[in-house]
This record gives sequence, structure tokens and C-alpha cells, in this order.
Amino acid sequence: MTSIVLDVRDVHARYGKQEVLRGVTLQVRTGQWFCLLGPNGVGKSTLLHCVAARLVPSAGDILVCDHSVRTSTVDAKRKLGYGCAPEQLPGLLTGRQCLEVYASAKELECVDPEVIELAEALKFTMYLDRFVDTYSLGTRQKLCVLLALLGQPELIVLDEAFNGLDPASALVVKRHLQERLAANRCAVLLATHSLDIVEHYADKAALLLDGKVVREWSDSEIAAMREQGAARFEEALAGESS
Amino acid sequence: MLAALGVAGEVHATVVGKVMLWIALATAIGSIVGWWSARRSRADALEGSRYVGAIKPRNETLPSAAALSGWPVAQVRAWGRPENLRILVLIPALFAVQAGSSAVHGLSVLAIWVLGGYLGGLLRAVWHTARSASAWLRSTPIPFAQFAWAMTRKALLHQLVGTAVAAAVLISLGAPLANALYLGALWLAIVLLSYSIFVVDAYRARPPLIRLVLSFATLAIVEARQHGWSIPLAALLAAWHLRAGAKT
Repeated sequence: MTSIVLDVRDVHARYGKQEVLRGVTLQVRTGQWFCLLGPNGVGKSTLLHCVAARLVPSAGDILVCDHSVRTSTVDAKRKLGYGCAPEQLPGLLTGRQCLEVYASAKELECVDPEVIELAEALKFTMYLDRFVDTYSLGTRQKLCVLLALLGQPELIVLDEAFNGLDPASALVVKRHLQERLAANRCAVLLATHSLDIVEHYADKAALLLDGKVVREWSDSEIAAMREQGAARFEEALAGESS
Repeated sequence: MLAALGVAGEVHATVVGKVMLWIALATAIGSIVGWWSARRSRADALEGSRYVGAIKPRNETLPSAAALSGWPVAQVRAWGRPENLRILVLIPALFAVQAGSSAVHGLSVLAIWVLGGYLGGLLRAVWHTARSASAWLRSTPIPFAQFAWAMTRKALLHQLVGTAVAAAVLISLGAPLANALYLGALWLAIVLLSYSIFVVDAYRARPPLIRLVLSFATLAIVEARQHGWSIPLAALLAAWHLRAGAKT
């Protein structure tokens, strides 16, 4: 029996007067790879910001491993690993310094050897002592993923994390995440436009439109569409969006 | 002014004409060089880290927030690229040295300008970097005390040493000891108060303007009534801001 890692309960969120999320409800269990889909500007990143306690919801609540991000923020943050946007990385620190600061901020006693191994697999170690502002988008993206994986988080939150990654590196990251999921060590919440990831890796997917979840696909539905052909999911998504 | 003096007959017309000609020529050459260099290189397109200095490669990666404390200093260096420095510091510095001054006097004035620019830049850099660091680390459980200490530790040390050097230079330029010490202490009080507001507001992701205005208005009023009292008051206000930040 897997436990619920993320429980989003009727969450509303706004930027100023503009309401971006209008009652989002979803659950993610341990071992699940949950993909959040939707056109640009529908609130995917806003929802991830709320889950990562970067933005306080105007209504509703979010529980990360039973800790509310509103009332037990620090406990909730201890359970999650958030892959920030590449442009948020500090340009005047090196990759190694970023890992060290992030590990310290996450109250870790050491940087996980597993993350260092992943850095080697991603051919990132040669960039560790270079400044982040000299990195390409793909290299920054690798660092964002590594930071998100520090400290054995039970919920990994990634926002378009495969954008800019070369196919080989993307495959390394996907396999690494799959290993963690297979061992029931975590759950993954990924906002993406890549239907390939949904078809081949996701256990569950949801379509967000106008700040609401309008459709969810279960593991079996995704598997069925995978068997029906490559474009089946694309057609289904287009149908829902229109 | 030269033209007016020439018209008034106080300076010979040919001297005025020559000076005006040289000014016009220098302006024309400067304009061409400026236009050409602006086209040739886009300074802002270069990475800021080019001006920070090399980092020694290491083999170990250990959890530590120490790198955060070096970030404001690195930011000042990145801002202090030659293109910015020559405009913001060197030109006013050169104009501040009076004709007929000794070389030591000129260099001391130049040192005060450069040091002042650095310390002023460092004051601003802490807000700039603390805000970025806070946004970057917001999804981590970093405690306020760790964040505040890491962001300000090195900058405070640089401010302390820089202010001491500036006070020494002022004394060497002939400023009375009491005045130099008072200016130094006042600057450090301003730094302490500003940094406390910056780290609290960066951590809380809110703008610091209102707290800065209110705090410094209070200091100004107290200083106007009782000379020197603003310094302990600034320390008290800084402690009060930090205590409020630690509660969140």
C-alpha cells in the first residue's frame, strides 16, 4: 500500500487581482510519476510554486507527507526537492558552491553520493568549479535537477526540467528518477509539454486548463493509449484542450 | 565662462579661442571613440564572473553556506568592471583632486573615492544578492539566522576594514580624529541597519523601502536633536529588525 505524498486540496492562488488557480485538487502517491500538462499560462508553474511553498495559496491547502505548506511549512519543505528555474540559479557561484549551499540549506550532513554519481553520469563534474553564469541552458538544467534530488526528498517537483537537456542526459535523468520511483523512495511531480514523457514514463497525468484540472489519466489509460500509437495521447489532449 | 571672460576682455581672445578649440577637438575625438567602443563591445553581455577571479578546483563537496557570504563581494566585483568603474569612480575622483595638490594628497583622495565606491556598492550588493538567494532557496527549510549570517558575514567584515582604512586616510588628509571616527561609526551604523532590513525583507520576500525610510528618518531626527545618538539607536533598530525576522 503506497502512501499519499502530495495532497492538493481545492487550491486557489492569485497574483494580485488575477486568480491563476481556481480550485485545483489532486493526489500523488509514493512511487508515482505524475505529469502536469496544459498550454502556456494555465497555472502549471503556479501550482508547482504553491507545492514548493514558494507561493502561499489564497485558499485551500497542500499537504506534503501530511505536512501542510501553510501551517507546517518547514516540515513540508524538508520532504520536498524542488528543481528551480535555470534563471534562478546564482550566476556568481560555481556549481559546487550551489550544491554545498543547497545541501546546507536542506540541513544535510553530506552531499548524497548518489547525486555526485548522477553528476558524473551527466558529465557535469567538469563544470563543478566553473561559475554558473558561464553555463549553457542544458548545463544549468542539469544543476537544477541535481539540486532537486539532494537529501532524498520524498516529493520531487520539477518544472519543465527536460527543456534544454540533450537526449542522452535526459535519458540518464529519466532512468535515475525511475529507479527512485521503483524503490518507492519518492514521487515525482513534473510540469511538462513533452507528451513523450507522459506516454513512456508517467503513471498518472492531469490536464490543467484555466486554473482547474479538467481531466486526469490513470496508469491504465496511459498504457492503453501507449499501445494505440504514438499520436493517440496527442489527439486526446488536443480534444480536451479544445 | 572662458568665452564670457574673453568678451569682457579679462583673458586674451586668442587664449580663449585655443582653449575652446581644444575642448571641441577633445569632445569630437571622445565622441568618436565612445561611439566606436560602444559598437565594438557590449560590456553587459560579458559574464559577471569574469571579474570575480578564479575559484580553486576542489575534489570535495561538503554542505556549507560559506559561499553565500562571498556572493555580495563577488557581485561588487562584477559591477566594478572597468567600463563602469571609469565612469562611476575615476572621473569624479579625478575632478575632486584640486590643481596644485601633492601626489600623496591626490592619491589619498582617489583612494577615498574608490573605497567609498566599493563600500557603497557592497551596501547595495547585499540587498541584490540576498533577494536572489532568498528566491533561489525559498523551497528549502533554511533558517533565518543561517541565511542572514551567511549573506552578511563577509560583507560586514569588508565594511569594517574598509571603514577603518577610510578613516585612517581621512586623518592623513588632515581631518580631526574625532570627526573621522564619528564618520566611520556613523557609516557602520548605517550599514548595520541597512543590512538587517535587507536580510529580513529578502527572507520574507517583501520590499524594504518603507522600513528603510522610516528607520533612517528616525535616525535623522534623533541625530538632529542629539549629535551622535543615531549610532547606538541604529544598532538597537538593527537588533529589533533581526529579532522580528527571526520570529518568522
